[in-house]
Amino acid sequence: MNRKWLIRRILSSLGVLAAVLVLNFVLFRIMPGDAISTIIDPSFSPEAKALLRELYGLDKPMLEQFFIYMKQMLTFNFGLSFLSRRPVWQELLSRLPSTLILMSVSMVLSSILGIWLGIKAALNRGKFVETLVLRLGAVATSFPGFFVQLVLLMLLARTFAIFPLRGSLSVPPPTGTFAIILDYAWHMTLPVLSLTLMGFGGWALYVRNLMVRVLGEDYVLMARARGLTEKRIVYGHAFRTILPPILTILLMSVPGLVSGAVITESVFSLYGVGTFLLEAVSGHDYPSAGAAFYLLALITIISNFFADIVYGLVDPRVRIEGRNR
Amino acid sequence: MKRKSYAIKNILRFKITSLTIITFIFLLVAASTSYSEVRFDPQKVYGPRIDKLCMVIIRNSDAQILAAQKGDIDIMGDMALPSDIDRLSRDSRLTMSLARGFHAFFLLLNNKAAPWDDKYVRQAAAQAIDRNNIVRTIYSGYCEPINTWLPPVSPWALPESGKVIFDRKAARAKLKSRGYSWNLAGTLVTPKGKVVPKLKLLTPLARVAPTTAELAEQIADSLHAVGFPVEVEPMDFSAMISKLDRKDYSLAVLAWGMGRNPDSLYSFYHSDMDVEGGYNVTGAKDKELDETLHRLRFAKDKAEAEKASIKAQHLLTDVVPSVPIYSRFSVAAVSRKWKNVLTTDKITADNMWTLMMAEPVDGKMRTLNMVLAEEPRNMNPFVASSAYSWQVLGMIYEGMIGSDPFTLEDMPALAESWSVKTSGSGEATHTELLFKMKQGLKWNDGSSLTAYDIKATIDFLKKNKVPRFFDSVKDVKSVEAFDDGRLIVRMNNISYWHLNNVGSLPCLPKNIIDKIKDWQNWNPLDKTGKSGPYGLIGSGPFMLETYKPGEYVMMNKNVHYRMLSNPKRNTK
Repeated sequence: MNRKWLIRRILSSLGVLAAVLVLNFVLFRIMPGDAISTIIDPSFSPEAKALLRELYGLDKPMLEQFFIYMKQMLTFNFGLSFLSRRPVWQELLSRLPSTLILMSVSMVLSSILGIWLGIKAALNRGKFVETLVLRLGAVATSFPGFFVQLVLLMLLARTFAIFPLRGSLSVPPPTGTFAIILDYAWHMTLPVLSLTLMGFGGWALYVRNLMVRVLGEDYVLMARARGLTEKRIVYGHAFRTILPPILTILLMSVPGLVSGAVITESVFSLYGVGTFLLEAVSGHDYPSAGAAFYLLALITIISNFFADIVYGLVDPRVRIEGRNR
Repeated sequence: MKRKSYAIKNILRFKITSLTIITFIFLLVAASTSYSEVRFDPQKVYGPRIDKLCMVIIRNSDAQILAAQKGDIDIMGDMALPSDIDRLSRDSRLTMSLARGFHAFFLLLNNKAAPWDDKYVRQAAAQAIDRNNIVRTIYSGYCEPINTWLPPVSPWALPESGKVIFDRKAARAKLKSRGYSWNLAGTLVTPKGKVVPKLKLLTPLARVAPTTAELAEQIADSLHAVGFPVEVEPMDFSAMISKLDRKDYSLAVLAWGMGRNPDSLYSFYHSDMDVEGGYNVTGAKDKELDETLHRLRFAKDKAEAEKASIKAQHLLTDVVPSVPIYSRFSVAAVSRKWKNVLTTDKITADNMWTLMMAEPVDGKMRTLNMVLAEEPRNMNPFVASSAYSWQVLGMIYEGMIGSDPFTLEDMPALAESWSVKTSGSGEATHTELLFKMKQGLKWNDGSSLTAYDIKATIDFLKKNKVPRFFDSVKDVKSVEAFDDGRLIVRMNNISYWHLNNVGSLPCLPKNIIDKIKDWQNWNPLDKTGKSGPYGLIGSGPFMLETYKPGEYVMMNKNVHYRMLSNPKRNTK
C-alpha cells in the first residue's frame, strides 16, 4: 500500500461524497411535492401553508437553500427537523444506540452462525449435515423479512407469549439498572432472533461454497500430507484463505446496519434510525432525510475505504500487487 | 336466456347488497345504542376516574391487533382493514365499537378539461358508478356509499346523503342527450364526432394504499361500462397531489377527513380557492354555487348558515364537481375488562368521554392502555401538526367550546355560555363573540384559569401568525377580557364560523405564554428551558407524566380538572 494509492483513494472518496451531497439536495427538491403540499386540511388555507413554508425556509430561492444545506452538511449541524422541530443531530443520536445494538448484535450472531454452519457443511459434503444447511440456508434467504418477523411475533409473542410484542422496554419500565438491562434484552430477543434467522442463510451458503473450493486446493492436500490436525487445516489454512472476502462483506454490510433496520423497527415498534429514515422520506422532511442519507453515504464510503485497506492487510497478494504497480 | 338469467342475477345481487348495507347500518345503530345505554347529560359527567392513561406506541397494524388480542391493549381505534375488524370481532374478550366517520372518498373530475367541463357528463359519470358493489366487494360493508359532499355523520349533512343514484341506463341517456354517441367498440364519441381519448385515473400506489388502488380499478370498470375509456395510472402520492394542484389530470381518487361543519365546502368548491395550494383541485366554478358558498362561509348566524348549507349541498348535487363514493365507518376495539365505555352512532369508543368515565369491571383500578399508532414526536402545541401529537396534546389542552358526543353540536367546555352577534354598521359591520367563562377553573398546576389567559392565547397566536391556527385568528380585530369571566372577541368581518374557530382554540396560561422566547423551537419537555418554560400546562382531563420516545406516553389524571368536581351520578 503506497502513499500515492492512498491519496488517490481518498480523493476519489471525497469526489463520491461531493456527488452524493449534490444529488442528495437535488433529488429531494425535484421530487414532486414537499412537506406542505401534501397537507389536505380545509382549515389550513393557502395563506397558512405559505406561513408554514416560510417557517421551514422553503420560501427561499433554491440557490440560497443549497448553500444553507451545504453549510449544514459540512459543519454537521443539520438544522431542525420539519416534523419534530428538534435538532436533527439530537434526533439521530437518540435513535442510533438502539439501531446499532439491534443490527450489530444480529449481524455478529448471524455471521458467526452462518460461518460455522457453512464450514460444517463444507466438511461434510454429501452428508445429511450439508443437505440440511443448504436447505435451511435457501429457506432463510428466500422468505421476506417482514413475513418472518410477523410469524415470529404471532408465534412467540401472541400464541406462546414468551416475548413482548413491541418496543424495547416494558410499560411501565422496571426500576433498577439491572432490571432495565434484563427487560431490554428480553424485548430485543425477538427482533435479534428474526434478523439472525434471516441473515445466517446467506453466510452459510457463501462460506460453504468458498470452503468447498478451498478444501480442494493443493496446499490443503499438502497440509493433510504433512499430518496436520483437521482443526489446524480448516481454521489455520483453509479458513484464513477465505477470510478476505468475508471481511469485505462484513465491512460492506456496515451501512446496511442502519438502512436495513427500517422494516424490523417498524414491525417491532422500535425507536431507531430506520423509522426515522422512513418518516423523513415519507414526510418530505428535507433536513432529516438529507442528514440521514449524507451520514449513510459517509459510512458507506468509509467502510469501503477500510475494506480496501483491510483486504490488503489480510491478503499479502494484494499488497505485493500494489507494490509492483 | 343467458341474458335474462344475467339480469336476474344482477337484480338479486343489487337487492342483496342493499339489504346487507341496510342491515349493517341497523346493526351499527343497534350496537351503538346498546353500548351507550343511557343518553346522559355530558355536562354532568364525573371524571376522569382512571388515575393513569398510557398511550402505547405501536406502529405496525398487525402488531396492534396481536396486542389487543393478547390483552396488552385496552382500547384500539382507527381500524380500517375489514380483515382486521373481522379478526378482532371474533375475540370474545373484546367489544367492537362502530360509528359513522368523518372520512369521505371522492372521485375527482378535472372540471376544466373535456369531457368533465360539462356538468351533464359529470352527472352521467356519477350515475354510472356502482357504489354498493364497491362497498360490498372491497370493504365487506364496513363503509357506506354516499352521495353527499359532507360526511353523513355531520349534523349539517342532508338526509338524502345515502340515496342510491346508480343507474347506467340513465347515465347513457344523459350522455346521448348531450350529443354523445358510441362507436362499435362501445367507446364514447363526442358530439363533434371524435372518439373520447384515453382518460387517466390517478391513484396512489397499491403498495401504499391497496384498497384505494383496487377501488380505482372498480371505478374505471364502472365508467367503462358507459363508454368512458378510463385507464388507471398508479403513482406516488406526492406526485399525484402535485398534478392535482396544477390541474394536470383528468380523473383522480382521493380520500380526506372532513370536519363537522359545512364551511369546508367553501375551501373545496369555491372558485377563489382554485389557486396554488388551494383545495379546489377540481377547478369547480359555478356562479350560483360561488355565491351560495360565500353566503355559507360568511353567514352572520346559524340560521343563515343552515340555509346556505342546504342550498350549497343541493347545488353541488347538480354541479357534481366531484363524485362522492363512500364514507368509511370508524371502528374501535375495547377490552371487556372496562365498563362505562361510550359509543354513539357518531363516535367510537376511543373518545375522550370513554377515557373520562371508564372503570375496570373488577373494581381494581389500573392503568388504561390505548394504542398510539405513530410517534407523537412534537409536543409544542404551536407547531405540532400530526394527528398523533394532537392525540396526546388534545388530552392536555382544551378549548372554550366542546362537542356533544350524541349530537356533535357545540357544548360548553371552558366557557359556560356564548353568543354571536353582528355589530357596527356599513363597512365596519363585524361579528362579535361573547364568551362567559366557567367559574373556579384551574390549570393542571393548580393556578387559576381566567379570561385573561384566553385573551393572551388568542393575542399570541395572532401576533406570531402561528400557521396551524392562523385561519382561526387572522380575522380577530381585538380581544377584551373582564374580571367577571367575560371575554369579547371582535372580528374584522362577518362569519358565524368564527365562533367555532375561536371557541375551539387550545388555551394556554398567560404566565407560560409570556415566558416563551422562541415559539417555533419551544420544546416544553426540555428541562433546561432554553426556548421557553418546561412542562405542558393545560386544563384538559390528563397531564403528561412521561414521554418515552418510541415506547409510550404516560399521562396522569389532572386532579384540578373541572369535571372532577361534578357529582358522582348519572353515568352507567
